[in-house]
Amino acid sequence: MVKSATRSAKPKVDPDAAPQQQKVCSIKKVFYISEKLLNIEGDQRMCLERFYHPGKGQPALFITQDREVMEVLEYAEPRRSWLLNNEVCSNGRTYMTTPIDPTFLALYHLRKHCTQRAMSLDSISVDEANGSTNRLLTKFINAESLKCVADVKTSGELIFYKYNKDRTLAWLALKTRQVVSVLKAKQVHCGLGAKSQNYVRSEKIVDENDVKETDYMRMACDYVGRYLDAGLHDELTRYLEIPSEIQALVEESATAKKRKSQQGQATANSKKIKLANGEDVGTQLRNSSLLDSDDNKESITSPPITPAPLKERSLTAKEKSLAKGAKGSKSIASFFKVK
Amino acid sequence: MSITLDFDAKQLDNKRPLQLHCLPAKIDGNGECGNVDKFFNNYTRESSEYGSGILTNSLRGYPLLGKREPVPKGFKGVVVQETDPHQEQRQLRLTGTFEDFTYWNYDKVPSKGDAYQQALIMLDVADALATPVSEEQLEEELKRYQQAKKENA
Amino acid sequence: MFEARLGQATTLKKILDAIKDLLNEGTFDCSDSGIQLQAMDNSHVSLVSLTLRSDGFDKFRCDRNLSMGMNLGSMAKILKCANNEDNVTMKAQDNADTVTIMFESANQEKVSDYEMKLMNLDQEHLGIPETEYSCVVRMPAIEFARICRDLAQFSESVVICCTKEGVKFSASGDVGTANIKLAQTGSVDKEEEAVIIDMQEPVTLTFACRYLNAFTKATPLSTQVQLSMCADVPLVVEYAIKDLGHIRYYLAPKIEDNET
Repeated sequence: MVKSATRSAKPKVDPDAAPQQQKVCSIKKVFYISEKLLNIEGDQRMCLERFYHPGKGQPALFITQDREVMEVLEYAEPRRSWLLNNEVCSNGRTYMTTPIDPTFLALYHLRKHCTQRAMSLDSISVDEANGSTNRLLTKFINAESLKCVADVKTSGELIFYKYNKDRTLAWLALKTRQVVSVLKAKQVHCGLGAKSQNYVRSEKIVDENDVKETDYMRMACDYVGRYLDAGLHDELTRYLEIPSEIQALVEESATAKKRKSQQGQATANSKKIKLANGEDVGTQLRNSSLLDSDDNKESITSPPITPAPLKERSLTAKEKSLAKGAKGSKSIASFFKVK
Repeated sequence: MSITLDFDAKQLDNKRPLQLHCLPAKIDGNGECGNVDKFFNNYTRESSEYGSGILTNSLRGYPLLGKREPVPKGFKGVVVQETDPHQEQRQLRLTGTFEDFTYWNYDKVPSKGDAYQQALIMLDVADALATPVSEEQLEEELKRYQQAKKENA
Repeated sequence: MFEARLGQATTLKKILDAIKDLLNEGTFDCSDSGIQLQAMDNSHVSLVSLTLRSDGFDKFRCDRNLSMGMNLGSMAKILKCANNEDNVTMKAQDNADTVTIMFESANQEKVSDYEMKLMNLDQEHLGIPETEYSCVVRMPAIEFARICRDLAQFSESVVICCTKEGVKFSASGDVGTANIKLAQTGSVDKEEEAVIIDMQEPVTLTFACRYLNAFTKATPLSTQVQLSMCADVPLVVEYAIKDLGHIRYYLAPKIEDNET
């Protein structure tokens, strides 16, 4: 039973997890542990536990110490391994403990139980069969901070909470803006569009004009959304008036079209100038398309061309004029020896 | 169901730092692997042609490009191992600590575009998300929203 | 595997524009130090030598030395399909008979790739000896282009005469004669506008004007051009490509008695 819990704890863990039984020691793990957790005074040890994660829709790993709770984020790439001194470790993940506002975790339960009536945290816990929810709500939730998302009524010893949608959205909007300012400070790229795999974000060119406010908002809202259930995430997106990506794409292409038509005008003008410059139209035509397409055919349809037929090819006007200009000059090969 | 991390801050300071390499390869195996110093570290070179601090090496003939990465500020790098998964009280024992490690890429200069660097952004985002919102800020936002709603109506 | 990426397609466009009038095809020799192209024009009067250093690329990988013969007209056509700000990547497998050219728009919305057949070009490499040139003139590339264009109206040949007074370009024909003299710039405020003459010995040489005009197609690549001359040795016209390499044109002098 203990074993099965291990597996569910780390979904898709390496195939080496299976023969764990025979081995005495299990796979090593690389952690970044926040100094904040380490600096907490007290005899209690840090503890890994699972609480329901609203963004993931299932329990996820958290680390607790005394009354402090932090999320455990996993950095994982498909093909990564660690080398620890003289040891290979097939688990290439890094586990990072990041601070979390437990209000996010409580919010889910408030929305589930306290939209119609005010309830105390204790009674929510009773409704939830899961023991971890009880522990979460009673031990790590700060009643004061729940004021941001709920109406709080006190009756004697008991405190009752009722979910408040307006306050919640305002609170989430403020959180989103906090994220926006971090993204801006870190110059995180957040334009639209997919990236090719071998495209490396340029570290030099972060074009200020390119990064738009809404792009930052959308990205920040997506980050916040990772801690919300889908319904609340949608509400937040509407509240912040973030247009959907498809909408944004349509607008983008509209402006791009405008730019193109301007460009078209410019090239048309430059063509006129060229013609007026004195070259006769016939040469221009021959130069530009007809003969060009001839030699193009040669190169594309018959792969390794022997040099011979190339020489027989009729020369373009430009080449003829160059050949004419070459008259009277020595051959360059008479100066430079073949290697 | 919980797992205890069986160490405290004091123990961290007493450990000799481990030398870590994050390799861009899937290795189906765990445990001792011979002389890393002799067969790997020995071949690490600094190659300024790719930029400052960029290292080169190779793994089974594949060229690697690497960079020393410090453990992010405010964090302690630790390696842990579960002692006996069959015990009733599950525990993670401290193997060692580290201050930095070498992040290796296959055929790609380590840069902002790496998944690892992207993951680090998440640390800052998480910090921002966890920063509490004050009552005044909240009241202000509520007012602003009501105002905007009125204007639109 | 060969792969080279440049941040801006416009650089590659300009390079192609600078060589495609002189050369119909060329072999790009790729090694881990970069890309080189050397070829003579059809009339074997001039030689183009292009060097692009690997460190000038955003990404450069070349596992094995590779020679890619290309039709430069086709290459130029493909490059026309790129926007100036696009990222451009050239890719080829070892021993492949095609090269892939990929463009990625600045916002990564659009990725287009073009595959082009390679050619087996039987080109010989010429060894260019180290030469101590008697005169080396540096001048604004636009100025040089202007001079070549203007003088082409008078004659097929341009006489370049470099003395300690300065450098003189002259042409004479049916219409009359034209002389353009440039003196060394007194104070060098702006490096790109300076005319600098480094002369050991005076030189007078005659060159085919059409070729000089063809070389000036490289003007967009560089603010300055460098002319290196020595008696009875080909002229070198060099355009530096910022942070990437250079393009050099060698032009054989005209035989003197033709001029008189």
